[in-house]
Amino acid sequence: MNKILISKQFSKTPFGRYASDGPNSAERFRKECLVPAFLNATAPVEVDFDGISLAIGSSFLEEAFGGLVRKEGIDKDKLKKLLIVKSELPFYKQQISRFIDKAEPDRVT
Amino acid sequence: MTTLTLCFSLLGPALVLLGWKVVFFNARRIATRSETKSIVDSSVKLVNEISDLSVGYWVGSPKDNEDRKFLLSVLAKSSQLQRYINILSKRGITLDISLLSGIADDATLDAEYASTQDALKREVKAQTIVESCMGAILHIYEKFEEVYPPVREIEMYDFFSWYDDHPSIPSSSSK
Repeated sequence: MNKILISKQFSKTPFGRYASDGPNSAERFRKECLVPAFLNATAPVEVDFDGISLAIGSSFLEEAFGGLVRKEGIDKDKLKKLLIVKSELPFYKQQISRFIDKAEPDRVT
Repeated sequence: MTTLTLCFSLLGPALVLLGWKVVFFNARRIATRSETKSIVDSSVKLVNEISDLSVGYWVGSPKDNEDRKFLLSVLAKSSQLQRYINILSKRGITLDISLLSGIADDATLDAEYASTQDALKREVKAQTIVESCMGAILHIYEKFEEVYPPVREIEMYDFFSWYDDHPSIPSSSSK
């Protein structure tokens, strides 16, 4: 199983949706941590939220996890099957699940 | 005669023990209810605070640098609320966690870009948050009352009006 400990591998203060919002944005997290872990994954990937100093906003979660479906073209069912969310706050898991459900792949014109 | 005397002499202490047990369990239930109610009240207070904060942020004119402060306040209160929900769960009141995640979604989704949205859109957002919070408060009270149903005292008027509504029972006037 692949593990991503956000506080260690990314930042203790993740904030913002796009790279223009700050250095620890969801866009950077998705590209640097989530995409390499999920792109050709066959085993479960655990994303661990422990040790984060700043609570994570909905925009960050939407862009990071919803963005995997919208922008990176990762299959929704595969993502839901492989993703394990570890957090003291169970509502992160609920939010992430909802954002993945709502996300639709962006159409390339 | 001796057996009867023995029975009567034991009946008194037995009734005292039974009475004590009834009083003890009743007092324990009342104390537990009171403790749980104070946790429920604290949870409701937090939901109200999230609602007030969010309305203030979304309906007012959010400045560019206010978003972090707002997110931090709402999410700190959400984390606190999560702890209370865990405590309530141990006391037999299981709340639907999706209500909390719904509030967090509504309050903080795209809060970083509030200053770029028009007033109408922000007002709609504020209304959505208030509705989510009211739904959560109602849910908390409903779940509490499932475990500790409210006691409704029957007044004499109610009792007699029920009596009059049942014609099969001969009323005093029909005699």
